[in-house]
Amino acid sequence: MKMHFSVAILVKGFSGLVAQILLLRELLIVFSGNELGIGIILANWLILGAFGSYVLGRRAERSSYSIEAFTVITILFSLSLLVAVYLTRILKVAMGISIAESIGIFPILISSLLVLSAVSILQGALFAYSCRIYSLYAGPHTSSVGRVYVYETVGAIIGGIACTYLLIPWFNSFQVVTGLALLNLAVCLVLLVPSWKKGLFQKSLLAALGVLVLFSGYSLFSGQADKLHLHSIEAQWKKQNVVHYQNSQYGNLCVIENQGQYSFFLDGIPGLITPVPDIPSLEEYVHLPLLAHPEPVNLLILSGGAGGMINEALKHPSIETIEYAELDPLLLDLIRKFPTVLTESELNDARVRIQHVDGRLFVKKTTNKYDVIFVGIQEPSSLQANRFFTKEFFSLARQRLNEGGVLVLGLPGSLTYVNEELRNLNGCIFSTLASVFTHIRVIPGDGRNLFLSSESRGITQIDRMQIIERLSQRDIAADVLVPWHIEKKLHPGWQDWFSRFIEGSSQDINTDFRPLGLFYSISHWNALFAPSLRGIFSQFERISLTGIVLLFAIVLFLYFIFRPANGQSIRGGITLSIITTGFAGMMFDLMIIFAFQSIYGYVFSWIGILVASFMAGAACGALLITSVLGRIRNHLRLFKLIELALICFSIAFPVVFLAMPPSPGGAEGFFIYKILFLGLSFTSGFLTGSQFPLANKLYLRRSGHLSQTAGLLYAADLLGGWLAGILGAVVLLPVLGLTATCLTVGLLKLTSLTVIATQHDRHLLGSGK
Amino acid sequence: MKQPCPEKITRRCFLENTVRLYLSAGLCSLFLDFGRAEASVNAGSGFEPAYLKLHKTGELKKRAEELWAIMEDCELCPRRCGVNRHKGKRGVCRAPGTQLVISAHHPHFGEERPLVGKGGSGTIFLTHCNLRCAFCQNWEIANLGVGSESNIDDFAGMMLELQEIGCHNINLVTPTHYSAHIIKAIDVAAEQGLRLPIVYNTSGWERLEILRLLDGIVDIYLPDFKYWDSGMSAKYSDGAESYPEITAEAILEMHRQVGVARPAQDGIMQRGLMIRHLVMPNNTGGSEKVMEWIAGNLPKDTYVNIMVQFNPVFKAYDYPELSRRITKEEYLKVVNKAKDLGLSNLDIQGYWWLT
Repeated sequence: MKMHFSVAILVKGFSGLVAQILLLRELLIVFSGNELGIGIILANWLILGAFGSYVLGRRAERSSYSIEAFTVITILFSLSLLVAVYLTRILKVAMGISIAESIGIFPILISSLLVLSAVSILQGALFAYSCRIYSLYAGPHTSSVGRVYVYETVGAIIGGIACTYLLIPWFNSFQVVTGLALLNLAVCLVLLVPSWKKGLFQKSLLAALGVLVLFSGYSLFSGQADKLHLHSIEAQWKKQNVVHYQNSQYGNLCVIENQGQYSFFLDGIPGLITPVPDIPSLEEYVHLPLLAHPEPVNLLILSGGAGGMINEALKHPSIETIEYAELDPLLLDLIRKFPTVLTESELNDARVRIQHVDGRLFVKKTTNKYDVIFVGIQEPSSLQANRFFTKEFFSLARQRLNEGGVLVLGLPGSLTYVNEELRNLNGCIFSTLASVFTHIRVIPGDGRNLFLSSESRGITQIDRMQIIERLSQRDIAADVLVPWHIEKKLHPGWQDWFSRFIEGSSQDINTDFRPLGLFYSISHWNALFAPSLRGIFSQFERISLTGIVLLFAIVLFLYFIFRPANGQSIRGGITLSIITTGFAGMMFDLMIIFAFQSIYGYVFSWIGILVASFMAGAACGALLITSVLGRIRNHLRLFKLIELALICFSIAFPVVFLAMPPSPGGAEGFFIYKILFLGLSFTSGFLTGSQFPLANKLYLRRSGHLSQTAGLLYAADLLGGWLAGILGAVVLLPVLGLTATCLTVGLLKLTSLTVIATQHDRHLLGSGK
Repeated sequence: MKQPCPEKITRRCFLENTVRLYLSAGLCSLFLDFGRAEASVNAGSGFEPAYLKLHKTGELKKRAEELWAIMEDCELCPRRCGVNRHKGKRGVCRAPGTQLVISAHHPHFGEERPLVGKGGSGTIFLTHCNLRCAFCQNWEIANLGVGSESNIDDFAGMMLELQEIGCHNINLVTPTHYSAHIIKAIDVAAEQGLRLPIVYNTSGWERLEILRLLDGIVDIYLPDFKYWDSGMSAKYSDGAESYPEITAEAILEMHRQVGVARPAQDGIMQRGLMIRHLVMPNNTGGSEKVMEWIAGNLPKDTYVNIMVQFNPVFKAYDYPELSRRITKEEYLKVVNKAKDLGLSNLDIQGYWWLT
């Protein structure tokens, strides 16, 4: 029976992570996924889980129908997951928001909270119930909690891998959800069968389970789940003719056909329309840099080349090669699937070489040099995107430019609404470019400011006469004069305009390990769509390490003054430790992935491997502690040691990154990096995971409160993660930078260690068990 | 009689038309590099903006007060919401009562060529809008209402600042719901030395009663003529059924006030009517009918800018008929129609794409 239940916990862990990944992805398709949106949605999932774990966890303690409760909760979980996925699809329609309409953080916060609520709360509750049930079979020692944690984590690892490599690429969300329901309900059936004799309730529950299992099996295998999927897409993309909808490893791609034109939506955001591109915007973006260069021969396009750009570039007769790096192969596959004369000629041209690789990684690895490099990323709105706007990237790009070469970059711009946030974003990136390139020509525009950077002076001098001269030299569009929409971009007045625009704005440099560009990009988004947050964000910018040290010093000071003199329970300290460890664990996970991407590049499979490594570490840590729990005499001392280890890790972490050379030498270099990252990931997981069972042990006075304790501490863990989700990526990392963020984590752990170390718990002094 | 340019616009054909256009306006100087053009329109050219006279007689102030009073039971635009903006109430335009909200002001070098010149067009972008088109290319300021609160003195200050920077005109974008504020600000600025012509950059949907109060104040009218069909305007602009009818009347009145747009010696526009029309997919704008109306009701050399930059944004995807871009053929059809009708003063943005 214990064995069956261990499997049940595994399945629960598996389902929990799969549900989380699925719902998060679905929500991100609906709400354009910038870093704040991602953080908020993830944070919502965690806080709801914490709520479920804490509130419902207490009830687990008192319940005498644990298995039945577990079953009912599982049934509800499976149903609510299905509803949640459907709800997510039709969310925008239900809120009256149109497909191309952007929205701010508040609707995202509230609607994701609503959608995720049932699923996450129930998932959180299941942890406490799992601990209770397990302890019923394994005996009421606290190692039960540790074991449940281990099984759940192992299940999650399997879930993560299955989701990434199998479920998302090959099945649609409804199929996955139905499959999950089938799996969970079957497991509950097996668990409940031995108790069928107990009473009417159990019998009816079993009957219901049986029906549901059959029903979900039928839905899955007979295509009903598929029908639901198609129906929801129709509802989501109302009135439009959806001709393709697919998830790749990188995101969701949806193609709509309209009178011979195809609109490609990447994660719900309108990307390109074939075969008619945005002509004014495109002609300016492609031709101005190419005409500014005396004789462009080799081009590099990082993202965004298909759909007109390559076509325009090929009009310049001197072009011999166009290297085009587009990360997601699915995009080009779909463009080919719905061919147009324009895209076919582009993609099949002999001069075009397409690579499906991260643009930054390509620039790092290649030894080729180019005359013009186009950066097709719109703005640094996520940690991923920010890597194309940093000093390190610009330096890399400069090395890949021939003499007289030009780097072409765009940023959000506006001629109709000028605000401080937009100015800071432009000012920061402009300063970053200026720290690497000698000459920069800025071409402001409505919607986008164009930055042409070069080591050669010629770039700053392009004017109408030169354009005309080069056009006739190259015999391009020889029949037409320079159109006004091109000419007006060269007006000398724009230079003054831009200087005035960025006057007084941020001149800080955007670096890989201090992604300030991300912060400004999010601030700008808020300024447009959630103006009430502008005040908070401008305060966030002033956060500094000194300020944080001061804050912690004050908090500790107040703690020492106000704590009761006669020693009290250590439980508060333990809870605080778990919260801060939850925060730390999440932050380390985030920073490792982020650092990996910055140094190595965005390689999808490695994200999964790093996360799995973290979780494996957590499982191992928990397992190790659980198995030695009985043999340790001073648990508190071990706990404090782990706290100390976490503090040391926080300090060592940035040292490791700073010590690494920015460009690893060759294949062995890359290999060493990978091992290093795996090691860091595993270690941080190990330390995080080892604390949890220990904390439970320390917290417990009487084993009767086992599941309640487990529920509370699990909630604390999730709460820490919640904090990291909200503040970590968008505020701490960009404003403080990697090093200072790590030190902040270290300080946080120091605070909790201090609290524990200075609490004297009568019950635990010198106790063994 | 001019022949329409063939599908593939040749330089010869384009140049012919261009030369004809410019010669007829007497502007050989346009072939010169702009770097050598005269800076300010006021540099000894003797130009006086229309409002100066009214300012000196005190009539400007009176008109401003009249417009201000209308906001008590607001009928500044054809929506005629009747809300009391003096008490902070909001109508369809969502302007916060009588509070002025401005989203940006700066020299703009991307407007029509005769407005830009060397010093740029002094644009002041006014927040909020009464039309609320589903495809609004500017929807963040028109619909979301982002911008900073200002007062009349600030507003006048902006105008003077733009003049000082070297702009050739004051270009008020989406002015309809703030007409009272505008006149007040012009009055204040004129007192402090404002001498630039006012460009009234409007959606076209203007009441005659209001336009008459602007007579002698605005030098350049820059209206859109968005829709020909009232069913379309009702559907895509939040019930603005009367758009075609009212805009047609309004444009005739504008023409009566300022006449045909003819640039001065230096190529800069000082006075006249400039009409904009955005070509939309599936003939939503009724473009050819609009051209017919212009040719039939206004002089053949009326300035018409036929714009190509439609993008499906904001709520456009709620309507499949608007969920795509226009094709080359759709655009050329409208341009050729306009030429067939004899319209000679066309700003048709010769894109390379069209060749």
